[in-house]
Amino acid sequence: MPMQYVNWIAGIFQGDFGTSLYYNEDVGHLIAERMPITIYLGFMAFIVSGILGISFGVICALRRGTWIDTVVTFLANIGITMPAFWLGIILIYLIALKAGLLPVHGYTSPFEEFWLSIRQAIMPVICLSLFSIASLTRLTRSSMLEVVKQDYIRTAWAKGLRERMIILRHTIKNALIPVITVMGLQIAFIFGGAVLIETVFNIPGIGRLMTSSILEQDFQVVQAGTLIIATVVVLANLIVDISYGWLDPRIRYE
Amino acid sequence: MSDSETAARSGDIAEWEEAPPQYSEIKRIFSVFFGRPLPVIGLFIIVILILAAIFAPLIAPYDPYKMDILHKLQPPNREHLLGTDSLGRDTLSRIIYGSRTSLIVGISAIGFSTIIGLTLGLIAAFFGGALYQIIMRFIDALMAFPMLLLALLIASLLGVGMKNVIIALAIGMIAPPSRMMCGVAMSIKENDYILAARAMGVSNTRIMLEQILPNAFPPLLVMITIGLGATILAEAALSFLGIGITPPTAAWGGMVNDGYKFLLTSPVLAISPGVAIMLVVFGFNMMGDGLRDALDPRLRGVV
Repeated sequence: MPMQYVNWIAGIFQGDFGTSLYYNEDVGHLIAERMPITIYLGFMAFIVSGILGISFGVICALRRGTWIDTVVTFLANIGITMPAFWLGIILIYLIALKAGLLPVHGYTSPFEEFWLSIRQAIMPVICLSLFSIASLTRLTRSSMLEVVKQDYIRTAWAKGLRERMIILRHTIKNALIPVITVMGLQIAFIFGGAVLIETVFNIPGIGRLMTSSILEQDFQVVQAGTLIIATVVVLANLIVDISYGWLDPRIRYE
Repeated sequence: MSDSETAARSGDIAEWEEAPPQYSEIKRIFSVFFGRPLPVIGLFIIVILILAAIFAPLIAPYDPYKMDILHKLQPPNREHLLGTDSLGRDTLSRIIYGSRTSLIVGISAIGFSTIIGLTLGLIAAFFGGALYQIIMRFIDALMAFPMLLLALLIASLLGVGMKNVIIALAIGMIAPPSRMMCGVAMSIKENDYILAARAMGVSNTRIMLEQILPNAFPPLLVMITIGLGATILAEAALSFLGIGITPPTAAWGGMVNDGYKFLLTSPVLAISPGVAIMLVVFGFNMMGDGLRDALDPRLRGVV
């Protein structure tokens, strides 16, 4: 057993992930084929959730107590509870089957047919990002409200800075520190969600490869896929950690 | 607090000393929790869930496992309020029985992960040194895997079934309580009263359990409540993928998967169990938020 593990690790360093029992193909090849699809959708979901989540949160905090705040906060509370796979099914039913606005499922590379690819990606990206949008909205809102109370914001007002300046430079920048931490954690969530969403939308990414390999007991693929996903998550978190230095000068990396 | 300050400053100090303000922590917690609508709605949903799980045989109009091929895939009607599935089973009854599955899996998985997580966190923080490094690096490694993927892997190694889903989800949820416990214990253990206890010859185990552990109670309560929602969601996801609770046992995730195949003809099959999942997770989240604001608003964003 330990010897097998050592051999496996040694193989990985030479780019050999073993052979899939089910597909009878090189595992490294199988994963290299599917990983870009998952990263493509996951990256879009990450960007969308970052932009929308933070803007919704900021708007809620600035318009605190108005109807916008109430509605968006309520929607965010619904958003963190909705099962992503179920949302996918609802979207397929309403938008694709009933209204016929978007293709039901599948995946096309953006280099082959750009518009079809974008149209096919809309619903999966919504499903992948919904949870992140909702939780980032909630977090940004409470973080902003926390920062507004700080002394340095009062000082900024007292100095006679313009409101725009105070909100952009002082409030948002400080409020984003905890948000960035959570964004790092969202990367793992998005990859976890990919397993479900790729199954619902029939997308040949690494998530669906993992599910089908688990069901087929194809452990070579499962092992390698897990290793790759964990590596990507760790790398993404590293990037997030480095970005702290820019937001918070108190944090320095030696 | 500002009121009492101004009162003290504005004059009658003698009176203030005579009657210290009566201040009940429990009363305050209750008033904050019940003061806003969302936590109360959450609590209401959870109470209904628990009642439905306990009294399922009394509430459910039909036997959730009784097949009736002649009446399969019926749309909602007077006899079957949410219609029937592909084997002619009553959807409403299966949703009611599914609450049992969700609650059993959720409570057991959170129970195990909390106990293991707290123990690991306490030991790491209390003994420090190499033990701290080993345990926390292990937790870090766990966190590198998406929780769902980790549960998926463990479930695939163990095989399907309720017991294995519980084990898989419990392992997937160990990281949050252990990190929280470790953080709390690290800040508490420097206090003088821990030193005093040690000087009095109190054993390490008793210091950990009686002096340090209670400090983690407020964040823990919030964590467990919100964690229950997350676990129920994860169980539904596993069952949806066919790696969790297997048919014929009524599980909401499995029902959504089952209904997905008949989306065009009877959408209610896939939609209704999803609504049940959403309501329950919403209930736990809102209750958790309410508890957090009532117990300690500083925990915002931490738990």
